[in-house]
Amino acid sequence: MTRKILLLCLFCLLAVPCQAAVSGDIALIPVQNHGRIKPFSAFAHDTLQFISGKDAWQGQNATEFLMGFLAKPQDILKVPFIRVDHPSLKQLLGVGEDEHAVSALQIEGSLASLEAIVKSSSDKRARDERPSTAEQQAETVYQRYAAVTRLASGELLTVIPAAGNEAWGSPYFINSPQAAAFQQLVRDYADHSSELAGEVGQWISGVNARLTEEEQSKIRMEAGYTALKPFYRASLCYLLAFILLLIARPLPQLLGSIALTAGFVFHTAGLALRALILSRPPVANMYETMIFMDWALVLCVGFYAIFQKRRAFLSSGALASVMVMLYANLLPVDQSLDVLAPVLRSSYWLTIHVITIMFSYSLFTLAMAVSHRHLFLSALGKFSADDDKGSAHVIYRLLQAGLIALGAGTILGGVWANETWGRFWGWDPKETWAFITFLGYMAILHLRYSKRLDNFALAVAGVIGFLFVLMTWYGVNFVLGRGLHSYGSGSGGAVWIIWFLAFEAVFLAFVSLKKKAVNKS
Amino acid sequence: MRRLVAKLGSVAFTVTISVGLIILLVTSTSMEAARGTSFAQKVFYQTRWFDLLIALLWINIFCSTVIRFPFRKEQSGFLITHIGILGILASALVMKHAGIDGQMALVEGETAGAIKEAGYVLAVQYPNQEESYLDLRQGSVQLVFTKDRLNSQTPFCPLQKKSSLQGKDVPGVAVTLRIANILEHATESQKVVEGAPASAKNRAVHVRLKSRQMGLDASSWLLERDEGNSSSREAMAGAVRLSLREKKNIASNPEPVLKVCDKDGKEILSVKAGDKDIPQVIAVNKTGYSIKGLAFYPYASVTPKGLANVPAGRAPNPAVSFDLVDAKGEAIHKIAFAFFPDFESMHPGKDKQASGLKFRLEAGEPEDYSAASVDGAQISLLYADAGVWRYEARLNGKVTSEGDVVPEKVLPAGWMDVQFEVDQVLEHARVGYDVVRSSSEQDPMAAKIVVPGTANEDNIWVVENRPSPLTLTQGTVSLFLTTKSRELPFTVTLKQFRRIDYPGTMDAQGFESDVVLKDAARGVVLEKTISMNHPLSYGGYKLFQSSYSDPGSGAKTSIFTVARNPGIPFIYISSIIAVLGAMLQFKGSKDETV
Repeated sequence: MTRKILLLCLFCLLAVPCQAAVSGDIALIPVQNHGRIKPFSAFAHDTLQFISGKDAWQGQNATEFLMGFLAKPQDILKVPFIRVDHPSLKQLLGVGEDEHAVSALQIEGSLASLEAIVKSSSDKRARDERPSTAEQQAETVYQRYAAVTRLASGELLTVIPAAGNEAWGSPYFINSPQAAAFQQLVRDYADHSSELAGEVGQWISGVNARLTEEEQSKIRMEAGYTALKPFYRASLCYLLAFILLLIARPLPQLLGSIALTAGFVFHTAGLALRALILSRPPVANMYETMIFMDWALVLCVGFYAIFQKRRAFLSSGALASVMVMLYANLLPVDQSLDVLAPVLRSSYWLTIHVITIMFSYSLFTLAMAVSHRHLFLSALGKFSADDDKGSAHVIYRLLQAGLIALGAGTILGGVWANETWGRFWGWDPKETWAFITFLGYMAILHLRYSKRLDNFALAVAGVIGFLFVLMTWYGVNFVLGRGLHSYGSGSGGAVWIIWFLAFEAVFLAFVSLKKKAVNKS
Repeated sequence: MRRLVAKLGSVAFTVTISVGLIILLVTSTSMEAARGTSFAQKVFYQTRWFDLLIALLWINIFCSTVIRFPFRKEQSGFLITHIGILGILASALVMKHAGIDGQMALVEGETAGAIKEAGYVLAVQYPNQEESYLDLRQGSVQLVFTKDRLNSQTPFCPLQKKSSLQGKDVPGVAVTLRIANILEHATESQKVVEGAPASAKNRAVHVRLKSRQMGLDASSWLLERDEGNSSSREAMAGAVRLSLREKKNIASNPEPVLKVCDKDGKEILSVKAGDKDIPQVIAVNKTGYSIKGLAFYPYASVTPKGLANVPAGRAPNPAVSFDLVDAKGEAIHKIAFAFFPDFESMHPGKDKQASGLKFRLEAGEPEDYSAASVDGAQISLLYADAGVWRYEARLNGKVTSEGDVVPEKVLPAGWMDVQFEVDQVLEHARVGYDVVRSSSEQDPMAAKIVVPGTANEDNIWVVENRPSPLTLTQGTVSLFLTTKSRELPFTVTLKQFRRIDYPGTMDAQGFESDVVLKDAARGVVLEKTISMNHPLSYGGYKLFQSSYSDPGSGAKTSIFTVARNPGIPFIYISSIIAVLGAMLQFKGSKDETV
């Protein structure tokens, strides 16, 4: 049985889709996109992901998909790959209820209506009002549509380098030997010509001659990042680790620890690559902070396992890290490697502030995971008195450490605010919620300290306290949608949060009832 | 006393006050999401009672510390942490009002030595251009007319403009005004009422539109005619185009006729404007005037080049244009709209002839006009002569819902979840304007000024950024609202502002301002570049890059936040103490299991 599970898990890990060999060097063609120079594979991936929400289209990876259209870019207008989710927008655009995407041509039929909704939305923004969900979705669909039309005109394909910080050109708009060479390359791709490989190599070396060594290595790194999908691999490793660690035998425990380590290596590599490609710490948007928090969480679990010899919590940590990864992919947060708004650039205090806060969140998340384990085992009556005490002690210490990091991180946020806006504290919603979270955990610790919370109640508090973290972190941006921390803002994802809350409610009700029954007997 | 301190310092009190604060702050942030930042600031965070709550938390921490005296060695972590937190809260509370925080906007090349702070004053500009500033709060204010101030002959001189003479020091005539109302955000609202039954027909409906999916809850008046607005028959509510049209069959559609009346309103000429072969020159009977080059535009719209047919996506408003030529051969250009007869009186032009003639175009909607050609979502309200109203909703030209209008009945549009309701129907509508409170924080401030005792107790509304003249028996003054300003101990000159974009995009990478700071008293001259996250610090002040405006061509404006906060070092030191104490406490803490 154990062996079967192991084989299944190994199969899952290897089943990661790999970049097909056909794309080869084409993936490395430099493109200027969103203010950065990136490899074609990353450009194609980001563009396809933005328009369709998918990594691949009908069995083709993003690079192949986009290359296939370069000979006749107009054809892309007919591809029904513009993602539309909102039911009323679907109705407006004439999309069937079971479908989730339209082509640009289909949108053109009702473009006026779509533009009118986008306008009403931007009018609301101008008045500092929050547009409705349908309006926000209309804006996204419109941006997706605009991206498709810019692909169709060839405008988006800026591959012809320019001097210094100038905008690069598109071979469809420029009349030059270079443009002709790229057009030839595109035709040869469509004809499967044998000369293609040579032309691509020549093209890349021609462009690279105009780039710095650093830019070239960043392009290679980003192509590697796009192909590797490090966070996807890391989450599979963590899932594998969780399953293995549940089996209380030496071999699975060992393999589980190895899987967890492997996941951590992928995780670290992914963060390092992002940092190197963007030349900044990878903590600047919602997605990055989630991934970074998860990394810190695994780090803390490892620390506990090694230095405190408490391996019992490894499985809780592995499960929590899988869940965070899963949520980072489920929630509508931007995963692309984007350049930063001026306020977030080159601020040393900002980086320390975010990293400290993320460490505190990772401790609270871990406390939440251990609390779940505690409640579950305690409710089933499977805890010895020693285990019960030990587990509660871990929760208490995690909450203490988390609270110190939260306090320090919040103060560092004030330092950043003072350096950036000239005020330390202004009751901005994010600040206010950070304060609420601080007060909440502080109350929990004081209740425990004054012996008003027993072990079970402490674990319940560890679960409930995390809801404050969730609100401060995600809710302020995506539910309240106001305030200075609105970079990383958006809407949606409510379904997944509601699922989480519903699960917690059911879970807490279940363990409380069960615990009562156990206590009686 | 001891018992009170013990109570105030108890853990139970800590938890109570924490939970209370949590509930309050959850409420305030929800209110902020619903009603805006300034609302939350005004109702919660900037109030005395909020300060009091924070002070209560302070007292709780203080008492909890005091009751543990004399301290044991293992309590040092606890003690240091709590002292640190007391320091942070105390500095924040005490220094809250000690700081300076304002804005400075500089055009490239400009020098300034003052900042604008939050809050407004009522400024009065006397006939001699001198300005004085009055507190903006409800109640009486005094204008003082001295001899100098009444002398409007004083040449305009920007240097003298800001001399702030105190009114009471100079003998003169005092006039008392009353500030009757202050609106932080105001907007002009249209007031539509039913006029006298004898007045000309002017149909109007008030439509309310609702859609949860589009976040829409809007209402709008649609009027057949409105002096101030040539497109009063149309309105946009979110993405929906509302229009008021006449319901008639195409056969009865009247031919466009231009009617000319004399001074007394007697009709003296009528020309079929839609005819294909209108004569180039038409004489106006017995007046010596003639109409030349008459042209008819069924979908007229005023463009910079004159009238043009712009049929796409809007309800038509037919018009004619022509030259009116007098006996001497001098010509002036005239325009007459069918549904906007007052265009002429609002745009009189250079009417050198003073002919006294009146022109009126009578026309219906063009035959080929069809609501089906209008893109997007639209709701039309159709009137017929008998006072019967019908409605018609369309999406991209296709009818999705139609029927009779029943006042105050909710009607479906037939697309998305849009519903609408006609709650008022007028036959002789009359339009007025009023300044009312607005919920949008973008809207300007306004104050209502009353001149007591005068025969016409006329109220005037003074709106931010718009000087309002007020004529009194002593002379005419100009009233306006302006922000409070504060002089700085130095001046700042903006040499250049730059916005740097990420290559190949319109996304900003950074904003930079080259400035020169001069402190004449200390003989200091500093040349620095201020950019986002890199403020300029001088004498306890910090200048931050906050915003900018770029008119496209010419000089750009850079906006700085200027702040001075003497409490900051105390907060920083207290924070370090608190965090170090907490770490010490963490190291020594034992979980006392129940």
